[in-house]
Amino acid sequence: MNVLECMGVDPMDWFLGDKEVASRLMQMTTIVSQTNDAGDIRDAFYEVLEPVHDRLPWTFAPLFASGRLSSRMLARELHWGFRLFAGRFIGGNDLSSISRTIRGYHKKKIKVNLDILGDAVFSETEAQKYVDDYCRLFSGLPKYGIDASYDVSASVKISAAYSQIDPLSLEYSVDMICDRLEPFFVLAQKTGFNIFFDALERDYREIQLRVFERYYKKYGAIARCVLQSYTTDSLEIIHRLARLHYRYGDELWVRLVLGAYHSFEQYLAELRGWHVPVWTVKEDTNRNFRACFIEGIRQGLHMVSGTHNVDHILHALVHGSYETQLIRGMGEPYAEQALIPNGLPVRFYVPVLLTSSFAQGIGFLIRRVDDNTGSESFLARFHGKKMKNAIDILQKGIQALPGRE
Amino acid sequence: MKYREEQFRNEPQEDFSNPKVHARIEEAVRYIDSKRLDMLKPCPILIGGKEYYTKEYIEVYDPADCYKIFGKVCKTTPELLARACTVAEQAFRKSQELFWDDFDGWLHRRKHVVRNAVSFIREERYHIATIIAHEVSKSIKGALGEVEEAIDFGELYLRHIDDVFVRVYSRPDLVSEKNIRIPLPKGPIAAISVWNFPFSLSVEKIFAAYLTGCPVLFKPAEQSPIIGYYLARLLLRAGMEADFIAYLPGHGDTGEALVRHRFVSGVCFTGSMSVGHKINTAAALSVADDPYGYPYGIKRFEPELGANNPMIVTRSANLDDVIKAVLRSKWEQQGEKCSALQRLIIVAEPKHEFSVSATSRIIDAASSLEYGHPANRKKKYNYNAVIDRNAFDRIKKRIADCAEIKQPLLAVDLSHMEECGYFIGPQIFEGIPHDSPLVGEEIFGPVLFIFFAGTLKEAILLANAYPHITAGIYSQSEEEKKQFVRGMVTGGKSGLIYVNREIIGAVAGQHQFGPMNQSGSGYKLGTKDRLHFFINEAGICENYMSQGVLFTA
Repeated sequence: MNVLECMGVDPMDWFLGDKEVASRLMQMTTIVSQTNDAGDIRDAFYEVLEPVHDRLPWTFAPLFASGRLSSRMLARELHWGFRLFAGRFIGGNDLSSISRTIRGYHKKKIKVNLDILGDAVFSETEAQKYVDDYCRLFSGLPKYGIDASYDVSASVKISAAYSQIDPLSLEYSVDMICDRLEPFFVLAQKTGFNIFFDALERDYREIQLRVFERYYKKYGAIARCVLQSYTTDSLEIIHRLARLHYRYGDELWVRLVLGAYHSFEQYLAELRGWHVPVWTVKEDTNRNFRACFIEGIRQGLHMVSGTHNVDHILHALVHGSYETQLIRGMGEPYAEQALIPNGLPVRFYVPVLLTSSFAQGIGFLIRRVDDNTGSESFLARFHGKKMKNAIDILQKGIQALPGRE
Repeated sequence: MKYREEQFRNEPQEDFSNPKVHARIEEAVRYIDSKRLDMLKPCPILIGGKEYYTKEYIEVYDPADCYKIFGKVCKTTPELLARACTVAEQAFRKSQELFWDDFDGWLHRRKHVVRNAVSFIREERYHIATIIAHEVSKSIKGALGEVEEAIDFGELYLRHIDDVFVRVYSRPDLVSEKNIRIPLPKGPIAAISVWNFPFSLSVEKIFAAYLTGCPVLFKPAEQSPIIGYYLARLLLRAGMEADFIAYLPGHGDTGEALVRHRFVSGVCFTGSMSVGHKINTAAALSVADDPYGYPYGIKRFEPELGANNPMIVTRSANLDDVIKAVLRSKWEQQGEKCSALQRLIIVAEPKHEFSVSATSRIIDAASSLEYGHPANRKKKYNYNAVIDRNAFDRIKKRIADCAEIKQPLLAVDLSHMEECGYFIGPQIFEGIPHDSPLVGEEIFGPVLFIFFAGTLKEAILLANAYPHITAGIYSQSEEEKKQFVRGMVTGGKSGLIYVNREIIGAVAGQHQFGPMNQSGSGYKLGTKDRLHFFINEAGICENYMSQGVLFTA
């Protein structure tokens, strides 16, 4: 049995409630994911975590007692701990384990949205590999028995499909991205799977929307859009998508999320001397989420909520959400205890890898950790007993939905 | 240690994700294209607001489209140069009268002109950027960044100028004596500018000199005289006194004559280290030969010279951040920046998995960079041509010399584009001895040298072995960061030290950018201290006591 397992440490607990501990653990995860050099890992471990060792779970104490663990053993344990943490969110690292995960969810009547991690792309080799991996995923899943009936979707990041993506060369970037993604869409059409264009930082949003528009025109509802409600102009985007929908008629799916680059957009705006393009007050983002959702439904869009905020989930359900999308490793209690028992459609956002290295997942994990340790984060507020309360609210809210009284 | 905060906001950066900005850029590109024929007429020399045409021209070719002539300027003759210096000298004397009679009005006018010029630059930013992009093959993004920097310099100097002219009373408690220190304009200044930042670094010199009351003898680099002409015209439109700005395009001989001229009180220069040292010597010797013939005495020299900049990467660094930083620091503007990265020092054995991963990802990423014309209709290329045939041949020779010692890890072949312009793709060498002159000399081109060091201490020693303006480290370890900063500061060569950030792209008023030691005087651009270069200070002591009796004023 593993040391950390013996200690009974839930890796999520590391990240809750203490921003500094979280930030230091993020540093640690970067280092652990980049190297197998036991000496480097040991040095980094003591330098990074020693100053906060008294704020880590008490079970860490033996690791700080000098001479207890050799470099190699410590490195092994940390690698294991990292994998344990990563495994909570990551739904497999080859076709076999991914298809097992999909089937597992399917049994629970949960659909899956796959996201191959590895969005830090700097070269065309990496960009081509990114798209090839998606093609491998979509062409490989049917061989493991995953067909159109599983209603699988995938999330792609346009910035990972072209290493020289440049907002200034808008149309050129759109052309390059579309050229590269075309085989993936052909496969999606063949397999009956769908593709969501993930939302990125604001710099790339216009490219994201244009790529989406182009594919929606060509492939209809196979192409799906993700929209962040924290941007102050997201309601305008809803109207833009609605115009597209009126014109082409096919179902237009929008996953409405709060957004994962909130702090980043603020830092960037500050550095560039811009007005902050995102709502800085949480309540404003919430209000905007609700407004965008209602407007999207009113305009005939297929709106789905991509949030763990109970109020938003209920609000979306009241107004006719087509699906509730939750993140693997975080949304299980909601799905299993409230949504699925009431026959509501749920899709899990499942990050996956097609490599044994967990390094590629680091960007995603860091964002998840950052999301979960912020003062407004879902898990910081809804953990332990509070999570139970949240589920109670969700269950009661669902019971009170129109037609269920 | 006490810290002081400066309240200043930089010019907002362009939002390149906004299609409206794209439209304005396209409009500017079309406008400049439509003016191509007009630009074939030579731009005149400007002295005292008058235009002078000479028989000899400097022709400017677009480096990324080298068969297209971009513009022509008249070359300054020695006679015209002498006339410009005399006009500047007379203007300075006249201005000195006003300085004493109505200082507030004198300063107010200067601030008003600079404010006007700044607002013109803001309005015409897209045109200016497009000219820069064509003339020196700089990306549109980089060129717009340069325009923003020029605006920042204007705003910063407008803020500082009142403080510069503050008269200081020393020992005000004394009853029998009054002691004052009065700042005075120094005299006509030769502003010799550079082609890699042909606009912002010209604006910086001119605004600083003009605000402090010094007439400007402006010699743009011979590779970028068109944007220089545009700037001189803009300043005249903004209301600058015609005899306070002379536009004197020319080659090295014009610069040398300017530096040696008796009416030049100081020289502000940005350029290579070798030319900088020549100017320093020429300026000093010209006065030494005839000390009484030079009304402004010993010439001050304010250089910003080239450098050989290092970046250290330790094994605790986030590799994604490192790749991004190396790409920008080395290949943005083809490495033709004084702050560009030349030596990447990885703290690991060459065969360590971190070194292997870092090197291979850098090679991969560099080979994906796309080269072309910065104002191309289809794509605004961010990686462009080197400045001219001389630079092209010099860099190519250097690459060949390095390849004789060790074959490059990466040599992107852009020979198919050489017919369009002076394109050289990214080159990466590893294994060239660090003490080789090929490494030591600044390359000013798209060539990166990679070295490995066993320890951080060793890496710092390597980094400090050559003069540099900027230096950087990528590390997540607090201990390593501290050790690096201390090592580089005490090494005494770094003008600006970056931690976990690319080593180029300093922002005026935000980053403390300024060359020091072998690369310059140490003044930070955009600061009040920089304005002091253009100032002399007179001390006045007035005694009120005579024969034991106090006679107050």
